[in-house]
Amino acid sequence: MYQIFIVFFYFSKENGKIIVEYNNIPAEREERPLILTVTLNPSIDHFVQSDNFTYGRLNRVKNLERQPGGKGVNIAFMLGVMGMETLATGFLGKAAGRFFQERLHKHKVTTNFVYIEDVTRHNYLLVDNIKNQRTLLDEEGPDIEHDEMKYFLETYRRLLPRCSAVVLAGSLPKKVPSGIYNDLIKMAEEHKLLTVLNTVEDNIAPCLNSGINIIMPDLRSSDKIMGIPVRNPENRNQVACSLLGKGGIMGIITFDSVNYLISTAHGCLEAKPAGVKMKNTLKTGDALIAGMIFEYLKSGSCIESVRTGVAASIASASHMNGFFKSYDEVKRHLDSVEIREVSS
Amino acid sequence: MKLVRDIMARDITSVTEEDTLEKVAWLLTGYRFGGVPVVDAEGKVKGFISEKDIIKSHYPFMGESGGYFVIRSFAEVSKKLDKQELHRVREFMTSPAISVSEEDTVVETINIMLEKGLRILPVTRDGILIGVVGRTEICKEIFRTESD
Repeated sequence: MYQIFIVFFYFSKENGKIIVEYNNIPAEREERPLILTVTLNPSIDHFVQSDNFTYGRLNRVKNLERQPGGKGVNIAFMLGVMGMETLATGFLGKAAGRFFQERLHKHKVTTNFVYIEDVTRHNYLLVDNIKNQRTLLDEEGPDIEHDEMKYFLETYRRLLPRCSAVVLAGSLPKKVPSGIYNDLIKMAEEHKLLTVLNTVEDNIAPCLNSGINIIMPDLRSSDKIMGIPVRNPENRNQVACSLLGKGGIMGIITFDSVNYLISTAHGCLEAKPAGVKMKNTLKTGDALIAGMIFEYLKSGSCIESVRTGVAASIASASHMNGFFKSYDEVKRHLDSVEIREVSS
Repeated sequence: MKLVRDIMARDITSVTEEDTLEKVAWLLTGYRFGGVPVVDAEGKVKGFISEKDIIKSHYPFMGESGGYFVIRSFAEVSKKLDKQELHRVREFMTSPAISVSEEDTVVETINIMLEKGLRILPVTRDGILIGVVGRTEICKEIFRTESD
């Protein structure tokens, strides 16, 4: 079976420079794209506001908000808000099922989770507005049993044929092998789907030789990729390029919270918000991915995907819980995105 | 007029005809509904299997005749009790399933539910499962409309 690609070459003018774009979009794409998000280790996120928080003492909670979370779930939410048809799968503890279902359905996200015996993890973000501190407590996650994994793989396999893109995002729960994302990417490739991976380096490494299309390492707990520190701009370019394996469309490195370096088949782009005040950068990476996929499936343009992604990031950063409320809100920030070509 | 797509639960938890009843029973313990649609490889709805079907699979000899248990067929009982864990969904599901389209009205759906005595209906688009609508969704809608 031969894979058929529609190949576009076109020019766009950005900051006075002409940028050549190349895109290969799988030809057999449905008219109404459906995006599958996979969250193997979702969480119930607690946003706890406690001003003047002091360790070892009684602290009063000023405000508490609970949200279904996990990278894939967050991306599904945001895609749903932007009006994209989205399907969310992964593992959920039985008690958490209804909570996730109701919140996701409210944003028109369809769910098909596998319910497990163990419980969904809880994460806590402690916000102290007086001391201007944020502390994140991240739980490891549940045990996934053999039968639960088997049922998930059956479900995933059954959902793929009706989708246009698959987003694999977040950490892995216990007992799940680190090569799982590689297996899921290979299955998605059989259906010629756009594949997106956003996770920590340990889970990315086994996937670099697969046909992953868009890849963004989660750098919250490490500033190194493949042993190379990415704070140094020169290293950053080198690492971003090395993320583009076979089938690679974009490799994304986050730096300074909401600045991004994006490697494409035809060079590197640096994108950042210009003159925007950020309240919170907690879910800006998830928003970037949601915005990028939304635009890429619509136009197939790397540069416009980056622009919409960063605009979604800015919109996310202006909300305390990280969730923008509408696509219009994202559109309002499109002009605040600066994109420039950088030498790779 | 409200349509099914406005009130349905966008959940497509489902099983295939080849799945075991054991899997369905396990699935239903974490699921909010009392049954799941049965779909094929493309997601097309082929039937429906409920808790009642599972119980009947385990107690096939229990009829519903005036409060007495009636053994209708010993051969059938023997066959059904043999290797219980290997029984497949296709043997016990209701097929074809009664389903509604996302474009159907809520009133039409209520009518089907009451007429057929069903608690939950698969919702389809071009025959493909895209959600379910249960009595819970209907009740929520009734009270939401009344309070508006």
